[in-house]
Amino acid sequence: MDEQKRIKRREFLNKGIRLSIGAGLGVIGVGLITRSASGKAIWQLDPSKCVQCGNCATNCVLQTSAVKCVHVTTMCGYCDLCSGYLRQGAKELNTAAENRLCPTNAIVRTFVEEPYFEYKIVEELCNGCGKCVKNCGSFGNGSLQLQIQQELCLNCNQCAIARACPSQAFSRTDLDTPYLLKGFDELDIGG
Amino acid sequence: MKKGATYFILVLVISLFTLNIYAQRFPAPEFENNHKIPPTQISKAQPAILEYLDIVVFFGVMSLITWVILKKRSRRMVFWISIFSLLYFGFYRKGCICPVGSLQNITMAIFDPHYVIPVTAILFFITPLAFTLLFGRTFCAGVCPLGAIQDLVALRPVSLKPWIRYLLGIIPFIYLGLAVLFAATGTDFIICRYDPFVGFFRHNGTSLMFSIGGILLVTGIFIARPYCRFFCPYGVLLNLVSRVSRRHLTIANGKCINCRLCENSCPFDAIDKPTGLEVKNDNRELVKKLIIYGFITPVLIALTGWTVSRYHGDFAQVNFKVRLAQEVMELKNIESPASLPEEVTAFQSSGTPEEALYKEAQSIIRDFHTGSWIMGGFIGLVLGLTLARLTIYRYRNEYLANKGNCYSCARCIEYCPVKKGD
Amino acid sequence: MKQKVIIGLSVVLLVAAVILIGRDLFRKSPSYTSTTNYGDDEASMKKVDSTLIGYYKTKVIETGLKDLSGIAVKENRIFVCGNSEVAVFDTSGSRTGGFHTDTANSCIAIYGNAVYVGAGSSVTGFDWAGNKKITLKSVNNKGYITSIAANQHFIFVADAINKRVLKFTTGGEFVQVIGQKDSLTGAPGFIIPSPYFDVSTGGFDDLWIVNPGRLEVENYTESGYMRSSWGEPGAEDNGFTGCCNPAHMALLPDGSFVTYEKGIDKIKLYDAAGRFKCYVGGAGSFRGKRDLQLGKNNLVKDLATDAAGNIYILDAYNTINIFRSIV
Repeated sequence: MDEQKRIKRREFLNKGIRLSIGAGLGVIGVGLITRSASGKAIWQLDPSKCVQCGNCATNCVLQTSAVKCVHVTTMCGYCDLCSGYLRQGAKELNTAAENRLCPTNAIVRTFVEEPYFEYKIVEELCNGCGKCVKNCGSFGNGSLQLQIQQELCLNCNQCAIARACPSQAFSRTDLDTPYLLKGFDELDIGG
Repeated sequence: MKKGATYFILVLVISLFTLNIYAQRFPAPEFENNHKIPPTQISKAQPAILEYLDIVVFFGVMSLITWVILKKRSRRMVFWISIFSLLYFGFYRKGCICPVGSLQNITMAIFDPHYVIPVTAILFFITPLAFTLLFGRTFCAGVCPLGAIQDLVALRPVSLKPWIRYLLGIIPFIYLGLAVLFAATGTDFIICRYDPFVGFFRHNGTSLMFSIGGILLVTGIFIARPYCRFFCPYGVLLNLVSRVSRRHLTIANGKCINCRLCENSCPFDAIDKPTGLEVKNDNRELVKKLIIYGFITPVLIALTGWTVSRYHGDFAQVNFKVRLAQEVMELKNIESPASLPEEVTAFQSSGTPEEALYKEAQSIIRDFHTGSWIMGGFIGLVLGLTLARLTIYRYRNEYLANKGNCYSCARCIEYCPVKKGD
Repeated sequence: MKQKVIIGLSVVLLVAAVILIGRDLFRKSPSYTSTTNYGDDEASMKKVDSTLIGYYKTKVIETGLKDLSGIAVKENRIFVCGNSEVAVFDTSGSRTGGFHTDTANSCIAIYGNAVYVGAGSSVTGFDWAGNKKITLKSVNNKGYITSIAANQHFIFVADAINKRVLKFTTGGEFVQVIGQKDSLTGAPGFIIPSPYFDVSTGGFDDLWIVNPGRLEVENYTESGYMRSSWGEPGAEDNGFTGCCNPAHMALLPDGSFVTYEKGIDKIKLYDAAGRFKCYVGGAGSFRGKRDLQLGKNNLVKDLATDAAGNIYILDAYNTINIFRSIV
């Protein structure tokens, strides 16, 4: 008899705990669903915060980083002596391999017309090191910018590059605005 | 249809906007030979369809495995379902996002009002818990890819003495506490950072990840499912919920004949053996013990809470802003440093005043103080309750799967000679 | 026995895993230093050989204003323009006057009693009290004025977007376009990839225009014929670095040039024939010893000189730095 009562009591206790856990889960679920993203949340790099430290190339979980240099061609000056293409301090002014800045030779230079040259990034070769971005930004117009190529990105729950970024330039955004390129929303005319 | 229309309008507005701004920005050169400026090469974001498919597959596999464990009771089927989960959720979806990590997303969503949590994270967190509440830890057996990979290497499982199990069993609670603490303060997702097996799924990872993964797989040959038993923070939640589950895997389905064939079948020491004598609990002794533990536990909570809170500074160091604030403060005193670290120069060029950074860092440190008190107290509570539980004598006259620890892998079922029925 | 060993080893390994995680999580060393050390490259590029510095800073004036973009000097009075106003300071650092303008301004020049302020595609001439006198408009509304030079007879306005220098009379009448690309005469035109295009007047009939895309400074007569040019690309002291430099230029009374190159943040002095003479300063000459990153801003916003040969540098911190020759 005692045994029965004890078992009944335990059952009752279990049921009560079960109900409260279920209610708790329900509260969490409903409460958070109202704040959730209906779409997917993806990682985004803010080039205006980026300091081109080089961590993008080394910290991505992928073998070759999903962060690539993107050329915003409408901002480019089409210069002969592109500071993102040629390194500073070259002994001779030519496009020999030792004078090119990109360590993987991912920038292709083609002649357009005097005195303009067009520069294109070969995505498969780019490793996201940001050397060209740094020089283009300080000497030139800043048309070379680092961005996460969404096709390649695994969209990890916690981006390993984001953790290592010294300027905390990574943030979550939704599918509609995957890329953030600087130079579009400001009157980019300096002094 | 409506979503398509809004998307189209959005694209139109954005393109008009950018065209307008383009006219104001310093323009690109005009080419005489009518050369067209090529568009900026950016690839489209991958659509969310795969994430939604994940949820459908997840729900489907959870239902299937639950039915297999409770109704079909076949170890073979559980095994093959776990292989499927390993291949799909592990190697195909690269092990991310997983329910184990989702508890961090949930925590962050609770504490940070600005954090937008993806629906998949919520569902991945709740679904296993909901199933466990009703049917026991069926998730661990056949759906979790981390568990599946460990099951594959559990070739020579060895039984562990209870005291080792209890000692190592504290680690998941500590891990859970730290994971919640760091997620709540927006510091880091440490479960993802130290995920031992995602490196194998992705074919890439840090050397630390592979070291831990390697250690767990090697020890996993002899100590079955080491991550599940002694590390998994989500397992803590599943354990607690499973103890009050409505139904659960049973070895003999209520018809145990004490033949003892299943005794050594569980590689995880999750089978509760029948106790010898039916000794009635002396109620007076019980009440006395409960009162003693009623006093010990709060003392334990206060003690552990205080102890852990002493380290809140070290915990806070993991946070980027706290570290940055310290560096900025230190470097102010140095006249002309040889080279400033990247994050300091980045901060200085961001234009944020130093005071704002210090204030934020201090508020984070305060959060860590509170959080570490709570975490320490939680560990103390767990210790106290475990000790209390050990004093209570539970009589059993048959072999039962321990509701909290059993992963419902159904190995024991194969050993049981009782006819499968019901 | 074997079992005990196996269990013992396994437990040890598991504990080792815990310790590894703990050590990685709580290590004290900063984890944000990059592995690539671009900072060293940048620092060495910006370094100025101190034996080659020929000027020293005599005064620093904190204007307390925001978004200043141009500076011009006349007779111990320093005019700065920027955020919808023109402010006047004297050489001791106190503000002596100024006036409001309608829009944000990009450049300023002074001749006589006239203050010419550029904003967008037009230039407004004020008197020193701030009354509008004349308005000069560029060829179209899309222009952007980056520099103005004025002498007794003419006003020269540099439009970076339309890549021309426009010549006006002091009364405001348009006279001609100078330096535009012309296939008939073979004039190569200006290469202006970014809004940095400076113009200065020298002595009689001397017009100096920077051609940043060719990394040279060109000399024109006031009627628009190019006489000569100096300057070449190069990383040595005498060359201009990068793709488009010098970003700013000013003339000293003895005919020598002060140039500012963006990217490496160096201010150099060239003699009247275009030969490198010395450095005025570098990134380390401003705001103490810390080399701060300025985001997208260049270190120097504009340069000006006075009749005594002092150099006035307006930097990105809205501070006026006055340099005097060591000699």
